[in-house]
Amino acid sequence: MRRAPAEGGAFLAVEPSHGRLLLRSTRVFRDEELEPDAFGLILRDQAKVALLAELKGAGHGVIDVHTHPGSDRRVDFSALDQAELPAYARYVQLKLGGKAFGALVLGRHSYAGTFFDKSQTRTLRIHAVGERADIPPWVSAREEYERGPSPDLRVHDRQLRALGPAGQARLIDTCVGIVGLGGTGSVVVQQLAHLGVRSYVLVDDDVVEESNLNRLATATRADARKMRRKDEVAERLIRRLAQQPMIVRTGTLRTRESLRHLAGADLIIGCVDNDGARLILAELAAAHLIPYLDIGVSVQADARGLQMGGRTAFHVPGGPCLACADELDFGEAAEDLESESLRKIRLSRGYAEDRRIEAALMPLNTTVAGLAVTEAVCFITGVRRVVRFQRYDYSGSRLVPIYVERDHDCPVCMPAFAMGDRQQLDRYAL
Amino acid sequence: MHPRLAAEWPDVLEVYPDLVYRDGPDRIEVGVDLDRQLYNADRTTVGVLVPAGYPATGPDGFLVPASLQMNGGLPASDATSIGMPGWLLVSFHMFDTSGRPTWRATSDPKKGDNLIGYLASIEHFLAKSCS
Repeated sequence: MRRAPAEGGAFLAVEPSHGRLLLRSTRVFRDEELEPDAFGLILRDQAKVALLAELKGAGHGVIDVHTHPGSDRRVDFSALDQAELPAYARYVQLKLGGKAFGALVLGRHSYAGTFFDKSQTRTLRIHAVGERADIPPWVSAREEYERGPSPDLRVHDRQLRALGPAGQARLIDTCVGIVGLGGTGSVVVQQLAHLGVRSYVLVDDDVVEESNLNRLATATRADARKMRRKDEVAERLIRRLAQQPMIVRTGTLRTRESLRHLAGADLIIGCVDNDGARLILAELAAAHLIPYLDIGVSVQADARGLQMGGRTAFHVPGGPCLACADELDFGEAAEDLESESLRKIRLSRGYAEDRRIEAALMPLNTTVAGLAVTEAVCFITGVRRVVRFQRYDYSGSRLVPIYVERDHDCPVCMPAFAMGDRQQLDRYAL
Repeated sequence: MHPRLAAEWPDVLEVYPDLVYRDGPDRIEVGVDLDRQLYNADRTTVGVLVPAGYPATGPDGFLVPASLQMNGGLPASDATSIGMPGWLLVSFHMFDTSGRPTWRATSDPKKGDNLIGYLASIEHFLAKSCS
C-alpha cells in the first residue's frame, strides 16, 4: 500500500501463537530488489534467498505480501497468483524448515489472504489490535464479507439505532473472556448477553454461596442451596438471552486450558479481587496483544466512615498497562500467587496475614461494571475512543478520568509485549 | 526457563560461575562461601525460588541444605512441604520500614532489582549471622 499506485511487496515475519500468527517485523522490498516480469514486479531471486535466510535464522515464518493497486472495492488473488502460490509455498516452507507461510494481497480498499497449513489452505484474516479509529479501513472492510449471523432485529432494534448494524455485528462477532464471575463479573455477563455478545470464555471455579446472593446477578437461592458453580449460572443466563451462544467454561484461571482459551479471546474483562490474577492477565494481554479491561471496586468501613469507589483500567495493546498505572500491588500479587504450603510457612513465621473478608455492595458493583461494559462497547464498535483509566468516587458521586503514560521501565507489559507463546505463561498454571 | 531468567542468566553466570537452574520447583542454585567461625561448613549451596510472577514479584527467602548449621541456629523452616526435602527455607525478606516489599524490578534486567542483587543480599545476610 505504501508504494501505491505502483505495485510493491513485503515479507512479514510471523510466529505462531495460540492459533494465530503474531507479526514480528515487516520488511518492504526496496526498488532495487524488484524486477519486472510479464505481469508486474517480482522479487529478485538473490534478494529472496537472502531475506528467507534471515527469516530462517530468526526462526520466523513469513507472510508474502504484494499489492494490487488498481483493484476495485474487493481485492482477490489473480488467477496467476492462485496457480503459482502452492508451488511457491512449498519452496518457501522448504527454505524455512517447515515454518508458517501465507500470502496477502492488498488492494486499495480491502485485502485477501491465504495460509498454507501442511497440505491444506485456510483463509488468512488480519486481526488488527488497538482502537477501531486507528484501524485502516481496508482492514475493517474484510469483516463485511465474513460476517456471522445477522443481528436479531426484534431484540436489538433499539440498540441498532445507537450502534448501527456494523457496530452490532462487531458485538456479535467478539469473543470476550470474563475472568471472575462474582459481584462485578456476573453483572458484566448479564450486560454483554443483553447487548448480543455470543462468544464467551468464562473463567471461575467458585460455587455460589448464600453470602454471594446480595450481589450475584446470575444466581438464585436455589443455586446456593445446590452449590452450583458461578460459571454454570453465568452460562445459564447467557443461554437465556443470547442468540446461538458459544461458551467455553474453563474453571480456575491458573490452568493451561484457561490461559490457552483466554489467549484466543478478542477482549478480556478482569472481574477479580486479587492482584495475582491481575498480574497474570496483564502479562497475558501484553504477550498476546489482547485488550484487557480490568474492574476494581472497594468498600471500606472504618473509623473515618464509609469509603466506597471503584475504577476501570483498559490496557489497549501498546498502551499503558495496570502496572504502568500503579494499579498493581506486586507485594499482594506475590502473596496471591505463592503456593499454599509456602504461605503456611510464612504464616507460621509471622510474615503473612489471614485474608480479610471485604465488604461488597451490588449498586457499586453495577455502576462500575456498567462503566466497564460501556468502554468495552466503545472499543468493540468504535462509537468513540475508550477512556483507558477512570475512577469512580461513590461517596462524592464523581467520575474522574486518569491520564496514564506507558512506563518504559514497566516489568510487566514491556518485556512481555508481543512475545506470544515465548512468554511461557504456562508457568502460572498450577 | 522463564524468559526473564534467561535474559539475566549470562550476567548472573559471570558473577556466580557455578550457577545452575533446576525445576520442580523453579529455582537457581549457586555456591556461597561461609565464615567457618559462624557455620559448620566453609561453603554452602544457596537456592533461590523463582516465583511465577518474576520479575514483577521478587523472590522471598532462600534455601540451604538441611545439614547447614549456624551458631545460634538458622531462622529457617523445613522445606519439604514446598517440594524441597532435605532443604531448609531461610526466613529472609526484604521489607521497608512500613512492612512493604522493597523489590522493584524494571523491564531492563540490568536496572532495578535482579537476581545478582538478591544473591548479593543473601551473601551479606549469611556473613552477618542472618541478622
